[in-house]
This record gives sequence, structure tokens and C-alpha cells, in this order.
Amino acid sequence: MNCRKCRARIFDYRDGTLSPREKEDLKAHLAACPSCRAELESEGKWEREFKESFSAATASLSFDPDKARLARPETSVPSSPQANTNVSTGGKQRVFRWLAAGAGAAIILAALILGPFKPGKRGAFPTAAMEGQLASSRSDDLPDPFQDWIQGRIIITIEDKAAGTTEKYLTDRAGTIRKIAEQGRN
Amino acid sequence: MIDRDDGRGRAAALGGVPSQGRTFVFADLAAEHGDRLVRAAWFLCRDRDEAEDLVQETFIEAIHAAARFEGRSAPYTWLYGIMRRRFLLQCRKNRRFSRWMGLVGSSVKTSDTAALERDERLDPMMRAVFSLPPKHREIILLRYIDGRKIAEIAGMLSISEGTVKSRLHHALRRAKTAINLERETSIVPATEKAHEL
Repeated sequence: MNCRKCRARIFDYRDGTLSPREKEDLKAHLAACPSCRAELESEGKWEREFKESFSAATASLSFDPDKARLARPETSVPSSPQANTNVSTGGKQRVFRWLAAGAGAAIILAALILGPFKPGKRGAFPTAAMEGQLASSRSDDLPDPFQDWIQGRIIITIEDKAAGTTEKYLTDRAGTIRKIAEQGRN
Repeated sequence: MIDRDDGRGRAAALGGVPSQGRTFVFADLAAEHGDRLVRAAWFLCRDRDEAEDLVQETFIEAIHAAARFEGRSAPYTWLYGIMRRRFLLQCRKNRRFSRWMGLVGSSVKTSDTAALERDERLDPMMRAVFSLPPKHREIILLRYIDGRKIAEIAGMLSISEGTVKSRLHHALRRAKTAINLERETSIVPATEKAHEL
């Protein structure tokens, strides 16, 4: 047995899980190898030191059910283990929840405000100021209004009763507005 | 352990009382396993208050999950498993929280650093162990403080025996370095004082 194999088996040797033959081999190597013997001894030394240090540090530490938060009258035992998650939350988690809730609310608000809007001329109403931009056409070239509606277009009719004129504008999906009819003049 | 029904339960083993019952009472669990669990929890959390919270949450979960306890392991081992799960969950929550706070540019003092700052009274060895990551602290706890065998630890942590050995090896190596460092730093003030005199 070499040193590498020996050190790999030190844990098993201490646990007593080696076969008799392996144990004999290991013992023979330990008897001949001071560094592996030191390794085995240091295992025991670590264990003692950890135990002593732990015992000293936790000597005053005990679990007092009367002092436990859940044993206090103002708190109650939750009905399910899942419900118990509230008990463990501290101040940090609370801050995080508030931040998350705020971020969520901001996103929803932004979606509500900006969602319906799309840039472009959509929704613009044809006024006299836009007259110059409009390509006019005579009533005799009028497409079938119903058909246009089906194609997703909207026909806006502006009726001026005093002047006795009616103007019709056609909008398409892209938001372009086009005058398609003018009745009552001439 | 107080029996609550005639279930002749496997869970009777929880209290170590040879009687029937599958309902557990918080106070009984606390009396039998509380001290040992809270010490283990403190070793993992490094904070007394957090440890107490963790242990009582463990007991509550154990009370609710008592029917699922099959008696294949010792009651303490079963309770430790519950506590460990809750501790890991808490670690994940804290990590997430710290990451988020880092994103918004706020520095958060985690319970880790806070606990170390508070525990100035700890001896250099315990301070050194406390500077190790949780998985190394846990393996030291199970092996050297609880005195468990490699196979047993592997079963508890659901890892292979080889992984347990390798983790132990790394934990010890890091612990040695940290202990040496702690001992050196704890000596420095004394020598400085001597120079001043």
C-alpha cells in the first residue's frame, strides 16, 4: 500500500468499515510511514479540537420553547407547513417584497398608459388644416363604403348643415387619411 | 412525547417513547431535541436568533409531517434533515435578496458578516470555521462534532461517499488555513501592545 491509498482509507479505518485484510495492510503501512501516521493522528486531533471549541461556544446555547416566537400568545401555529413561511421572514425579505410589489405596480401602470398608443396619424381627425395633405377625389370614384369597412378602413363623414356640404374621409390601417367625397358644392 | 391517537405509529420513535401515536407536540419535540438542534443550527446560521427561528420552524414542519416519518432513521437525523432543507431555502432567499439589492446599488450587510462581527468572543478556531462556506461547515459538524460515519453523512446529504471524503478534505484544508490566519491575527494585538510598552 502506498501513501496515497493509505490516506484515502484513513476515514474508513476510523469508521471501522475496512475489511480485515485492508485493515492489516493499512496498519502495516502506518507502522512504516511516519507521515501517514501523523495524518491519522491529526484526524483525531482535529476531532478533539472541534468538539472542545464547539462545546465551549455553545455551552450557553439552549432552545427554550417558552421564549420561542411561536410559543408566545400573540403568534399561532400555522395550519400547514407551507403557511409557516411567513414566520421565517425577516426585515430583509419584507423590504424585498415591497420593492418587488412596487416594481410590479410600475410595470402594470406603464402598460396601461402606453399600451393603447401607437405612434402615427392614427386617431387624428381630418380638419381644415389638413386639407392640403389630403388627396381629394370626386364622389363618382367612391369605392363601396361597406367594402372599405370590411377591409379595415373607416369612413369619417363631416356634415356642415349650414353650408349644406358633406365631406367624406377614408382612413386606412396605416393611419393615412384621404378625402374620398365632397357633396353639396357646385 | 405525548401520544394523541392510537396510530401505533412509526412516528412514536420520534420521542423515543415506546407507545402509540403519530401526533407530536411542539413542546415535547423541543424538550427532547431542541438543544442539540439549536446548536447545530447556530453552527450553520452563525446567528443565535436565526438558529432559534430555524429550529422552531423545523419542529412545526416535523409536527405536520409526522405521519410521513417512517422510523428508518433516528429522530434527530430526521429533524436535522428538515432543518437542513429549511436552512438551504433560507440561504437561497438571502442570496436572491442580496443580488437584487446589489442591482439597485444598495449594499446589504448579510447575516454572515453581521454574525461574525458580533461574535468577537468566539475563539479563533470557531471564528475560522465560521469563515468557511456552509457546505464545509456542515461536513465538519456532521463528521467531527456529531461524530458520524462517512456512509451515514453520504446518506444524510444524498451525495456519494467519495464526495463526502473530498468535501471533508477541502473543508479541513481551508479550516487549517483559516485557523492559522485567525491565530496569527489574534496574536498581533498582543505583540503590538508589547512594542508600545
